[in-house]
Amino acid sequence: MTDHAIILTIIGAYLALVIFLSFRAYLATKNPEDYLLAGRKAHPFIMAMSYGAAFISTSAIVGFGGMAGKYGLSLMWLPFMNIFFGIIIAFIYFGKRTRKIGRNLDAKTFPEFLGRRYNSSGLRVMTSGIMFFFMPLYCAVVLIGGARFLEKLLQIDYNLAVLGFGVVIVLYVLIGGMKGVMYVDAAMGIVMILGMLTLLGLTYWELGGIISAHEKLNELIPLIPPALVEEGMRGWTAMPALNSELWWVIVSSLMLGVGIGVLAQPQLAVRYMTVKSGRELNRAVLVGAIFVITTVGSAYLCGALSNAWFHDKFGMIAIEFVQDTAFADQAIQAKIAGQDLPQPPPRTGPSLGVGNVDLVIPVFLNLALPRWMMYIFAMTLLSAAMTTLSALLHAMGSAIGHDFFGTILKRPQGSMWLTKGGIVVGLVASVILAYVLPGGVIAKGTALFFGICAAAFLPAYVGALYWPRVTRAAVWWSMGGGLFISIFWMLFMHRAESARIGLCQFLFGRPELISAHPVPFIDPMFIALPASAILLVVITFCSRKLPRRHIAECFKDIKIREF
Amino acid sequence: MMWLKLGMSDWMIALALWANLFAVVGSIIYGIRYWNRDNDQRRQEEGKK
Repeated sequence: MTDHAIILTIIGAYLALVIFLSFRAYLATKNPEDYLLAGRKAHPFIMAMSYGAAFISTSAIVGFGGMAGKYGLSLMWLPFMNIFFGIIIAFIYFGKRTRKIGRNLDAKTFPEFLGRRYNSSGLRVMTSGIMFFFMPLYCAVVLIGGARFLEKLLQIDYNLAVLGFGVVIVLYVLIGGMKGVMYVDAAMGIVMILGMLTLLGLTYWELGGIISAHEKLNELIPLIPPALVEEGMRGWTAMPALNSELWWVIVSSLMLGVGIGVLAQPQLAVRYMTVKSGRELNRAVLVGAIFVITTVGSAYLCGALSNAWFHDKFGMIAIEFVQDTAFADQAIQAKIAGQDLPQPPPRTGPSLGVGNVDLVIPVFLNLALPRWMMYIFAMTLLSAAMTTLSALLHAMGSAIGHDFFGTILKRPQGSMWLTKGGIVVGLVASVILAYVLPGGVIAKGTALFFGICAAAFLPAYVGALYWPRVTRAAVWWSMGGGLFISIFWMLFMHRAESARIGLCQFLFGRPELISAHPVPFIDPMFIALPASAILLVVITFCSRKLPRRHIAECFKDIKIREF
Repeated sequence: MMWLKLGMSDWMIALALWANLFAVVGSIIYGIRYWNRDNDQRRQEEGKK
């Protein structure tokens, strides 16, 4: 059987499993509560696996793994943030209250939760509008991650991979609803854990063991491209220089943007409401933490370690190798045909460090690992992409259908058909973006989305759970302010976006308004989130409280201090 | 004591690796502790019914 045939057989078997699980879910879905919240009776293992799988996408494995390949193990602070904030704080301090208050208010989505908690259908519409406007960006970068992998694995056209991938996912989301999404997530989550652990083990084995692999990385310091040294890079096993450009990218955009931004992700927050009690969330902490470290931790370690492997075989670091995509493809073809790996053409001058980071992991896997591992990893990456995309499409669909149009058309309970229509529209928007976005955007696009959600939603969400005094007016100001400052900072201050978008250059003749270090490298969330929180607090003390009866209803069975 | 550095050239990176390990172990201990306690509570509640 040819390599191609084996891969297609595996993918076919995979899809058969997805169809089976979706159909079972379809039969068990009788009403909007089933379609949106899996009937509020999900098993904690399923809930934790679904949360983890929805959280960890190809952007984590391909995008951030590639960033670790370029910039090193300073990214290992991100898995710690993901476990500490994304699992422990999220499940224990956010999840339990969200579940109780959500049940008290009969909320089935994140916008509905905020809208009912603050007694405002306008807030529900605004929240769903923000979700629907920005989620396609995150959806698109996850699609890109999966499609890039399929492009290299199956040697097919990238655009075809994007479209095919998207269509398959939207079909099973439409059919199975939240139950289908969560069953598939749990199955695929197991594949992800096993696949990433195998990948990590094989990588260390190839490099002669854990300490030997790390020491090989230390020996590569002289090969850091001059451009990256200027940005602050000091090695693959060292933090960037304090206050350097790279330090600000790693700390403000990646660690804080994604590490804290996870708390305000609507597609994750809704999963707290799928379990029947807080006990399930306690148990889910164990499963969630194991899931995150095995998937994300492995991806970043392998990304960084790929440099040692590429240097051993080709005399160059990962980001330099993937610069020559034609040679990388030639090497992959030779590997598939069972031939010796070719040697790259001689290169003159120092490395520029400008290769596409999103290609590091796919190329490394295709070249370094045995072919049977590629089959396992194909399933792992497909799983990562499908689980996150399904969560996003489901959240987008419910935001536009159940929340946005449900409120405008005065159907507060929404309808499954509106939600399904929203899912299809969400897919179309995401596919278009996946076609037009430039290369190397996976990690940055993810950080952007997480940052916007944090700035717009996090203060209002925390207030909803822990501060009965928060007023409706304060939430409007907080959300609007957080969003406005995020967008302003992106368009005019944060060089990574402002230079690319070009509006600042067009209006003011410069890539960013303030060029003095470190302003152009400070992530928008670093500014917008504190501003949003301050607005929430200040406006709360200047505006009218919500009625006591309403607050009592929200916090029924929850101990709160008198506000 | 150099083994604590795990072959990293920077203590901050070694600290990141250890922090990850402790976070996971802490979560496992938390989950196991509550798994048993919640099972006991559930059995008590079912016994009362």
